Amino acid sequence: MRIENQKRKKRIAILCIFTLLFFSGCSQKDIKTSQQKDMEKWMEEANLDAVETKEELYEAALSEHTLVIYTVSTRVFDVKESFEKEYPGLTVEINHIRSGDLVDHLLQNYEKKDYLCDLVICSDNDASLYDQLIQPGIIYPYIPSDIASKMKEGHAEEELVFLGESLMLFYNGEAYKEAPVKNIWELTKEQYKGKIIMANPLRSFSTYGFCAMLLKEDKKIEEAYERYKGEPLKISQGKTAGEILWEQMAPNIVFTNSSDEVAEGIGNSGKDGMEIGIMISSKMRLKDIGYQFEPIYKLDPFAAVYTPNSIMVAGGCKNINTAKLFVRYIMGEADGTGEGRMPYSTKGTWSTRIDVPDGNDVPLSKIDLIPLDRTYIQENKEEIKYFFEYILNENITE
Amino acid sequence: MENKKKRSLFIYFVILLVFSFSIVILLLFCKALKSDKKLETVTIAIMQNDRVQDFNSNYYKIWLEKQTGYKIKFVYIQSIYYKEYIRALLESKEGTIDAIFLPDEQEIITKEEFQSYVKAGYFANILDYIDSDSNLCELFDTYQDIRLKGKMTESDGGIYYMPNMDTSRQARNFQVLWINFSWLKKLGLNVPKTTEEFHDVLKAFKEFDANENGRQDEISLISCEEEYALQSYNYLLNAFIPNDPVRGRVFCNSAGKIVDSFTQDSFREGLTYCHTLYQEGLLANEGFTFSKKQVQELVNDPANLVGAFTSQSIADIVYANSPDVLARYIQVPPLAGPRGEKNAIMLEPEPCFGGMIPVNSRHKKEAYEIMDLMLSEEASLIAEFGEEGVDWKFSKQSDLSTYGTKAKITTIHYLKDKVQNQNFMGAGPCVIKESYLNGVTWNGNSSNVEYIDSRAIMRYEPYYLMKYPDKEIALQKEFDLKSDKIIPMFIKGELNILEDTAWNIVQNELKKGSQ
Repeated sequence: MRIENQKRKKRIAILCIFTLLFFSGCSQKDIKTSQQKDMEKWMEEANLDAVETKEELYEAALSEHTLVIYTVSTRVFDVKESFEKEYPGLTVEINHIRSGDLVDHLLQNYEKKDYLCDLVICSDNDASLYDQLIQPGIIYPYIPSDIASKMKEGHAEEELVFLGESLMLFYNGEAYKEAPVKNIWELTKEQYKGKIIMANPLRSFSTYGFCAMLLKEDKKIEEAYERYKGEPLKISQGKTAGEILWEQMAPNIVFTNSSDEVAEGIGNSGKDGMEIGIMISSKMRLKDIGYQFEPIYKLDPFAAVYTPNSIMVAGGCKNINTAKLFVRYIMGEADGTGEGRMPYSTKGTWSTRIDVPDGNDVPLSKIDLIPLDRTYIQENKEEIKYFFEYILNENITE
Repeated sequence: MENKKKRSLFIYFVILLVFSFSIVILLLFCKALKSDKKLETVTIAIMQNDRVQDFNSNYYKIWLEKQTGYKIKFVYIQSIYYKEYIRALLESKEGTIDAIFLPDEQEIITKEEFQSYVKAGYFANILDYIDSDSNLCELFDTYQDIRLKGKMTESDGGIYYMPNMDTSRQARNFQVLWINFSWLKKLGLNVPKTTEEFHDVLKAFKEFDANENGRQDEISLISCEEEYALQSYNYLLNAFIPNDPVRGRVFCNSAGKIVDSFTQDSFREGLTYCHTLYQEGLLANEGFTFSKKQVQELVNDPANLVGAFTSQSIADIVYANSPDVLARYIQVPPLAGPRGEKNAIMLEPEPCFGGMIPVNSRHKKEAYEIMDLMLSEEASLIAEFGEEGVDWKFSKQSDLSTYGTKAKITTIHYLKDKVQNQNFMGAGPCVIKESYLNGVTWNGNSSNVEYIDSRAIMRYEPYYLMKYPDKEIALQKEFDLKSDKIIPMFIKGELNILEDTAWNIVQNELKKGSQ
């Protein structure tokens, strides 16, 4: 009898647990559905495929509030200034944040159903934008119908890529008359200790892409070693050539928080400043205000990794007409000559439209440049992260 | 049988009654003991801060109450007649205030006022309460190199306040020059590297309608007399000779000898340069009359009116919640003078008045205990960063600080640019370890003023002098006070810097004064 009672109690307890689990599962599912429902409803209202003129959008935008942009680019402050002049009555608020924080903020907004952001400007060199925001339907491309046909191949699909840049090597123009290195293994030399500067790869998406590609292209790195030293690289078990390169190069590197600091280190600190910088190519525009650094276009096995920059509409965006108008504006309007594109038409940038010339005088085809392999990054994300945590841990000073 | 049962029931009842009674007595005794020791209410006067929601429901206040067992009640110091309010509360016979907390960056009580209050016996001597285990004593040991105890000790040997001291790299850097990046871009100009280039840039700002509004309303370079760091000519003079107004404009030369900057030809050359800028309308006349507030309004004006200014932190002039204006300015590393001279000044941390105990306080010991606790490591982390795990956490080994070193603190919610209720926004006694202050990760926002400052400081630190004279010795000369007044006179042309007679008379007068 007692045993039976105990059994009965056990059964009731199990039933309770299952019931609880069932209901908690349901509520989780409900939250997700409600957010997806939000998005479905918003997509209908936003009508991202509509054919609209800028005049129609402006008229509708006048009844909206301040456009909120989350961006990794500072030049959007210049676009904001001319946009507000071009469209009186419209205002733009810019939140300039790092790529990782941008993704986190959007995820938080989505979770809380607090859709604070309207537009997103970001590169995706660590595949976070795609994996965490595009695939789950948190951000969307808006490709104006009269601009779509003018985009270069692969630049107007799941993302609207409005600007091409590359993460590449530069040298201090006051310290050297020409590129001091021709092979990437030269960066491991003792003479460069504390003289190479780059942003923290775990905080800057574009730098992350470059660093990850050095790991991915280990065959090319190994071959470059042989060309540099005249003998094959001894690779111990469990290591790759890319890892060995990083381990030998990292003690020479001063890690910073952003490419701006890299530019200051090699371009604005005189000949005694940093000698080699690894940073985003668009910082070349700082040469216009006297920064003295030069790009390294030729390097064995490669000097640069292509970095596309996208502009995307945030799901739930409350100022959709202003957002659409801003996208058109930054793309340079239908004919590509609009004022909004100008801040992005500078040295170190490459056009993503077939009808608009590159900002940089050297085309991408003349640079030792490789594309970003997003699949490799997606498949090896954790390993890459652990590896660079280890590299940083070993090499950042107290 | 039944009688026996009744008797045993009665005994049980009596035992239960006695037991319950003893418990009640014990509880009452404990409560009485507790209330006797720890139910005091300590009343603290504090300046209201727009960024703190409510001091009385603040997380830090509640934490202090839990740790000390005292109840804390904040009352607000009147924002307009604060000097009169403080004097009145100190003078009253029946003390209602047990401690006064001051904000970290405002001179609510000047040094002179403080000393006069000490002389009048209005503040309690902290030494009467201090013991060797106190946090204050530990700070004295930690900051022996900057003679913290000596700096806090009054002429009668007493200590009358608990310190608030910023030990960060940011606070040690005297001055940074900020220039209008948008104007440089528009006019196709380079960031100046020399005083000559700087002159040309300022001239271009003035002449070519840098803000593109069709009016000649550009102010090329603004200054402000309210603080040394805001006096832009102090920055410019450092391109000619070390110019350290905080240490009385004396410096140690390469031979270790103390030199008066003002008596040197290079200083005169620097003044001539500043005078030229003034004469050409490049160094604005407003800089000699405008208050800090007016300069702030000018620089933050949406019409984009100012080309360059100097300050210790960019947030001293540009509002920390104005990303557009913050993006407008970039730092200029130290300018080189005609002989390539480049100098930057490193300051020594100085204790400010964090908290005082009025002598008429009825809870002096309790007030001291609260303030001493505020000097502990745990409290100071709350005072600076808020609640652990909510507003900040200890960093991972691979995290980078804003200075590119291994980070110690990762902020989760950055409190400084918003209204919050987690700490007192720097008010009250507070000294945080340098390693924490300099080891904060960047929150990823390019408008974060600590990040902007740290980038500038890294460009200035290589130009600090090798050795600095002792500040107390330097100031004994009283040389600086006169030079402070004379410098603007030479710059504005009220005294002719080009005339030997004027220069020599001033030199002789200054020498007399310093003897």
